[in-house]
Amino acid sequence: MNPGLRKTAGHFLASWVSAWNRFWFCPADPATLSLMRILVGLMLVYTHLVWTLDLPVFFSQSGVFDRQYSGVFTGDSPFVWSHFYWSDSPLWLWGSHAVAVAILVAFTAGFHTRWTGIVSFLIVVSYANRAAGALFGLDQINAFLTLYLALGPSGALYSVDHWRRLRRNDKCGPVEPSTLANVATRLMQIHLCVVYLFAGLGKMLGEAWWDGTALWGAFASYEYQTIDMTFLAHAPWLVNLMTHLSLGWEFSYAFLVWPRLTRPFYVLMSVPVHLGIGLCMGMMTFGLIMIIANMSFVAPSIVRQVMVQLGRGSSSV
Amino acid sequence: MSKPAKLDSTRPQHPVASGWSASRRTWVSLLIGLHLSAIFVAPWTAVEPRSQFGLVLRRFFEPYLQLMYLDHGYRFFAPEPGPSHLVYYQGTQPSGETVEGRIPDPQAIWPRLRYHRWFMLSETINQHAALLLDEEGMNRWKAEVEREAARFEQEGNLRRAAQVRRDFREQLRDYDNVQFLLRQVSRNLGQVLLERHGLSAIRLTMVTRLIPTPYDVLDGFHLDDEAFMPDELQVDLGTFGGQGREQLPGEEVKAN
Repeated sequence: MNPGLRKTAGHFLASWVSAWNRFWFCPADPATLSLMRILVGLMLVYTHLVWTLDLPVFFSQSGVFDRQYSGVFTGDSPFVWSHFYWSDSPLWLWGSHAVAVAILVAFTAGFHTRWTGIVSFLIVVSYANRAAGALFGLDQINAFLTLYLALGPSGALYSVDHWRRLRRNDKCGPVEPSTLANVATRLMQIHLCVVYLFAGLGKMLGEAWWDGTALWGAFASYEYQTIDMTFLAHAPWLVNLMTHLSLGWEFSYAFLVWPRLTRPFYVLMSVPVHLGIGLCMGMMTFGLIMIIANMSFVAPSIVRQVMVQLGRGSSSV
Repeated sequence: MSKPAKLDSTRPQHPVASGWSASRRTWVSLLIGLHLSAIFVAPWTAVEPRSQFGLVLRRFFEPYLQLMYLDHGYRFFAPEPGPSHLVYYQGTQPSGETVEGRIPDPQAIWPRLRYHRWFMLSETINQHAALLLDEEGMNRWKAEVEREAARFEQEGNLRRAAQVRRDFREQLRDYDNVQFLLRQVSRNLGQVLLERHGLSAIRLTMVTRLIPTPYDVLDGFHLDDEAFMPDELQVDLGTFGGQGREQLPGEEVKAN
C-alpha cells in the first residue's frame, strides 16, 4: 500500500474513532436523565394505575386474552414473557400488581434507583407482553425510555438517593459527570430518531399524506376526537399545510435534530405537534410521553437552571 | 447577566476523557452497535413488503427484540388514518330485559387511557376479522394456488410447483391461527360482558365507522352519523351464553 495513502487512511480512521469516543464516551451531567426519570416514572405510575381498573379483564386467564390466545398471538415465542403467566390466582394478580405500582413509585422518587430502574423496566415489559392486544404507541415509548433510564444513572439527582447521600455526608461534592449518563442519553436520542424516521417513512406509503388530507382523517375520526376540529372542512388548504408540515418535520427529525442550528426548532416543534395530537385526539398520554422523550435532546445545563428556578419558586411559596 | 444556555447535548458538557479503558470502550461499542442494529431492523422489517436480506437480519435479532419488548414498527397513523372499528353488543338479562352497548364507549369508559385500551381491543379483534374470507373467497384463493402450481407443472418445473403448494399450506396454517384468535377473543369478550352485565346471552357484532369527507361535514353530516357505519361492513362475531353455550358465525348453537 502507498505509504501516503496508508497515512491518510490512518488519519481518517483515527478521526472516526476519536469522534465515536467523543460522541459516546465523554462523561455527561446526569441532570437531564434525572428529570426524565421523574416524568417517565409519573407516566408509568399513571399507566399502571389505570390498568388497575381492568386488571382481571386484560391480565387474567378468565379475561379477554387467555393463555391459549396469547400463545398464538405471540407465535408461542419463549422470549415473550410475563410474570402474570406464573400463576392464575387472584392473589398473585392483585398482589404482584400492588408491588409493581409500589416499585414504579420508588423509581419515580429515585429510591434505590439502580435496582428499581431495572425492575421497573421488567414490569413495563411484563405488562405489555400479557396484554398485547390492548396496547398502543404509549407502551412502546414507555418501555424504551425506561430501559435507558435504568441503564444510566437516572437517580443521581432530584432523587431520594441523592438526598440520602447528601444527608449521610454533608461534604458530599457535586454530582460527577458520568460516561454511562452519556451512553444512556445517546441511545435514547438515537432510538427516538428511529421512531420518527419509520413513522415518517410509513406515512409516505399513504396517498393521504401526499394529497394533504391525512390530518383531516385524524381530526374527523369520531373515536379519536376530543375537540371538534371539523370547522377545518371550510379550510382544506390549512389541513393540507398542517399535513405536509407535520410529515416533513417527522421525517426530517432524524437528520436535522443533530445540527446545533436546527436542533432547538426540531425539539420545540415536538411540543405543539404532540400537544395537538393529545388535545384533539384524546391521546394526551402519548403526546406527553413523546414530549418527554424529546427532552433527551435538552442540555443538562438548561435542566439545572429550570430546576433551580423551580426550587426558588417553591421555597418562596 | 448570564448568557442564556443553548439546547446542546450532543457536545459533552464536560469535555474530559472518559475514565473507561480502551478495551471497555471497545466492548461497549460492540454492544451499542448490536443494539442499534436491532432497533433499526425491527421497524424496517415489521410489515410487508420485506426483503429476504431484512428477514435474515430479523430472524437474528428477533429473540433479543422480543425479550426486551423492542419489536415495533412505529407506523403511527400510517400509511394513513383509517376507519375505526367497534364491537357492538346486545344481550338479554334473565329477566328478559335487553342491554346494549359498544366498545369503546367514550361516555362509559373513563379515564381516556382506559378508553384507549378498550379501543385497541376492538381494533385487535378487527385485525383478525379483516383477514377472514367467506366461502367464495376461500375457494377463489385455493383455485388460484392450484392454477399457479399446475402452470409450473406444465412447464416441467416440479420444484416450483411443490414450493407453491408448501407456501399455501403454511399460509393456511396462519389462516387457521387467525380464525382461532378471532373465535377465542370474541368468546372471551362475550364471557367478560356476560358476567359484567349479568346477562344470559350476548351477541357481538363488529362495526366499521368510516371517516366522513370534508364535503360530508359541509353537507351537514355529523361524525357519528349512522350513514358512516354501513351494514355491509358489519361482521357477526357470534352469540354467547352462560355455561359455555355459543353460536359462532355460520354454526348451530352448541354447548362447550
